[in-house]
Amino acid sequence: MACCNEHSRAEILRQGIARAGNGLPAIESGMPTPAGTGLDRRTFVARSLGLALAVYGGSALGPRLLDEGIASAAAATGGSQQVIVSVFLDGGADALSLLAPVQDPLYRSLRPRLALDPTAGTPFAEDPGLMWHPSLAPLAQLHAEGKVSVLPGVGYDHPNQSHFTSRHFWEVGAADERLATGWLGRYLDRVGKPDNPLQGLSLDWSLQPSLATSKMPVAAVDAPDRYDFWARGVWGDVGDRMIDTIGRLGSLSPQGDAGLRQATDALRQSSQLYRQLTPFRPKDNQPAFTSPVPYPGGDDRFPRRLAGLAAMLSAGLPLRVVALSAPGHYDTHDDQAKDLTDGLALTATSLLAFQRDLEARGLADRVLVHVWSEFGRRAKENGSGGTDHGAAGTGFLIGSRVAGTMIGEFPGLSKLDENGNLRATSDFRGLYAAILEDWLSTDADGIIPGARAFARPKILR
Amino acid sequence: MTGSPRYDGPFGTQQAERLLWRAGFGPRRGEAARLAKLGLDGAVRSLTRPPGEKWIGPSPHDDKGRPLAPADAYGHDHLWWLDRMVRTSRPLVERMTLNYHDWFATSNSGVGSQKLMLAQNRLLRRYSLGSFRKMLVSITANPAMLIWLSGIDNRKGAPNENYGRELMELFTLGEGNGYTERDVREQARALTGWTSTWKRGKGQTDFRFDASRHDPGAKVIFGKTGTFSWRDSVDLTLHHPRHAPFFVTKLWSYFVPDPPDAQTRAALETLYRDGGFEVRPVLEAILRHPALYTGGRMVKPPVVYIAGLLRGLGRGIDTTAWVWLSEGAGQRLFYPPNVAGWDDSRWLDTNTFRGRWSIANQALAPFTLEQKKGKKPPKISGDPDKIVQGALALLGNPTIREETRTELRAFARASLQTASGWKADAYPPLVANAVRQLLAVSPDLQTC
Amino acid sequence: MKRHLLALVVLACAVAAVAAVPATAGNEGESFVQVVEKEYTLTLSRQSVPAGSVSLELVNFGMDTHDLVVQSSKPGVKPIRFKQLSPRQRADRTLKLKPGRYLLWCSIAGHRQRGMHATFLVRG
Repeated sequence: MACCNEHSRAEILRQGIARAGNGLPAIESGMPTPAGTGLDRRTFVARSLGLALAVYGGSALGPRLLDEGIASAAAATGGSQQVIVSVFLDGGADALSLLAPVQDPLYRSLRPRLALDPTAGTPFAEDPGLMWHPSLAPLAQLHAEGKVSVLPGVGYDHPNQSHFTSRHFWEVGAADERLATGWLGRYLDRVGKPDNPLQGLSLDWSLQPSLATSKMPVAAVDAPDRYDFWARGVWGDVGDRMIDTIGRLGSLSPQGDAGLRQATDALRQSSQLYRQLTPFRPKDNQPAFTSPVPYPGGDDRFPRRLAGLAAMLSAGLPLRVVALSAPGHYDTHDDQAKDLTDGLALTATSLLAFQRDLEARGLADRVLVHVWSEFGRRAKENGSGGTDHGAAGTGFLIGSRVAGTMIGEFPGLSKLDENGNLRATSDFRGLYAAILEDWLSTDADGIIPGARAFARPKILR
Repeated sequence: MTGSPRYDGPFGTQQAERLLWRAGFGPRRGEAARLAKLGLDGAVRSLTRPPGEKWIGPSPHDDKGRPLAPADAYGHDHLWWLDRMVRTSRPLVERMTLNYHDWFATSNSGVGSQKLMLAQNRLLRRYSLGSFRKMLVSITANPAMLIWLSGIDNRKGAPNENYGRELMELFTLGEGNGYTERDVREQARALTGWTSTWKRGKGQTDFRFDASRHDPGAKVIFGKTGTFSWRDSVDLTLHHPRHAPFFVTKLWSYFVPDPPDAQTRAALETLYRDGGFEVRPVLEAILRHPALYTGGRMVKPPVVYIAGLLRGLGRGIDTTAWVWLSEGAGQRLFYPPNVAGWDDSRWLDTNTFRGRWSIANQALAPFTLEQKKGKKPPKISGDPDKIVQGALALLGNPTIREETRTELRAFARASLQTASGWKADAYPPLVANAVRQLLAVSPDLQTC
Repeated sequence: MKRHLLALVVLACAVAAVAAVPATAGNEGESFVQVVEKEYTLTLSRQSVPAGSVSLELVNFGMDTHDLVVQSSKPGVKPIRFKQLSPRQRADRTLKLKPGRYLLWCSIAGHRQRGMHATFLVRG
């Protein structure tokens, strides 16, 4: 059929739902693969044993007939669902190395061993005194295209220099040690659905705390091809039907019993998540998807997670908030030069590939990437070839729709705070409020405590 | 007997089963039926006044057959305690120890010594069915707790409020319930004096009360004035009018999902106060209460789920996998997430369910019906009903809902229906393995 | 069991890449000792073990990176080095230790000077 050759998967789904009631093209064998994804249509279709639950077909296109996850995804995404991807640099990345003030003589005197060679990296277009770390050349490239907004001194008043405490503040969106939900989790509590664990996805072994919700389900999946239910001594279609039965047991009514409900919900949502991730489970040792652009190779999971994420978005999976950690060690008390060079190179190259992937798949308008760390590091280097915990750090917003201009000026080395640390020229809570209001179209009040007090930077063009 | 209501319905295998899950780690094979024969009172007393410990089952070891080293090897602490839960003949003692580990939640991530954590564990066990007053006094002076909540940093002139606050907020009164910030500060002063000596390579040692570090001045706590010391701190909270209601409600919540009604609460408070803060009378009243037998279900905490599976299957601790499997389900013994303990309302989500799936898989692994290479498949009945019955028998015949049984039978039937030719022999074992796995993770077996 | 805060302690296993001695099979009489590292201390779960097969485990309960060097006080013996561990990581290795005194320390710059060292006795 002509439609299948021309459109991407997401587009087909959107069209499919839009034409509900008019009869839709049925899936026939031999149908060509939708452009760009490498996904075979049969694998994409919900696997319900013995039944051909086609995404198209049938006149009543209600969620009851379709795989709930994919159908409501298509209905919800409808082309306008914005996605935020949070990328964490673990350890407190050194702001003065990410964007180095190489023209300032104070820089060399504070960093006799660590000062970067002023010719080694790309000059920062918005401020000639600053230079990108050489490993961040891919981000410099995107910046030149207007796709990166840099926060050269983002932090908060009364900075806390404990990793866990400061990171906690960033994750919960407040300087509050007892707050138990993530800022993105509270967003999902407001807009999420009770049967869509993919709305908040932590691409990691465990849940990234920014996504911790109080009511809505979210998921932590190390890789989409690894959420599986394997049982010893079970295989083939018996195994498939066994997994289906998880969902059936999860649909039995708990009859008002709260304990039974908690257990039943867990079975049902797990079964749902498993179905949602069906297209990404490899079959016959073939990877489940291909990417239209090359990603860095190697053992690290970061590029593969981003590649999988782009494929999931392209497949119309109902993701809203995604969180993951970047590769590298940023807590550089010593051996800073090497650690930063390696970690930043892989991170930046992967993020560039991700942006190009989204552009190739026609998704770039829907995705915003936020790169953050829990603090920056001290202006003066220590005696061990490294730096110790500081205060304000560097952050980035990456995407086709970002304004592409600095948020907050570079704090400068001549006016450090009383501890010898960079002063913050933007507050992370104001940034969050802007992301919630301008990108995610929801009021920051009720999600960021004390939201009114924070100025919103301009984040989108 | 006081005014606490007593369950007067039938006390059969089903009721005994639930009692064993709530007050222990589930039944061994046949244990529920045996307990039922004692009647409600006899059953409760056998739990609250057990004879001496008689370990039942094989001794624990790691994957290489080595005995456990709970003070010296990561994870062996968890295994050592899990083993106690599996082999104990005094399940309520062990279950109350677990409850108190949550109540006075101390994490080795802050203490840094498995040895000190084990010493605290012994303390929790010593008073598990005894005096809450003695428990509170001992835990205040307990080395692991002194490190965890900064007791050793709290001294005259430089008070540290950590323990004083949690003593009231989490252990005895409840957040903001009958105390002020001033009380927190004054409690901290009263609790000053505990100290230790740091020795290189050994860590904190020689925990003791040092009068020179204690603030001897007058303090005002709950409106009372006195030159209070740390024992007074304990007694002041115990005698606070809001303590008994807090205590009985919190204790109850470990055994019954819905809070007690007013009459029950008043009766339990009276038992507690009149008994001089002894826990046993309150426990006996709770374990005899109708709400435990007729009320809703509770999700089993992960270690209870694991120990219960092993007890039902008759298997011992023979692998260190239980450490990370337990973590995957959200509960690593000796590492509660924070001082408020674990959150019962959040045991199960898409990740921890997958964790429990893996737990069930590991527990059932030795019993898997597997086709050995070059041999015929194990011969088992292809009758769906027999397969389901077999799975139930393997797991100790737990009580399940009729609709669950129906689903399992339907699964077996559908899988076997088209199994002709080579499948006729090969499929029944696959289906049997799958039914056992589904049964083990069913909502019925995740709850009790 | 009330609030569920975010700080789950998940200790990931990071087994050291280079084994100085291979682990022995049939480990009767293998002893265990755990070395806990924080800022800036190094604590052993026991102060001595019998000579022979020792399973030595390093656990990082601190907030910074740490590592471990195990050096016999006898001259000419090559030190045993554990790789760097991030907070909450651990590593364990089975070592064949002869009787004598051993020095343990963290080799991250400045850590030993700040107190991360201890001694350990292998009884013969």
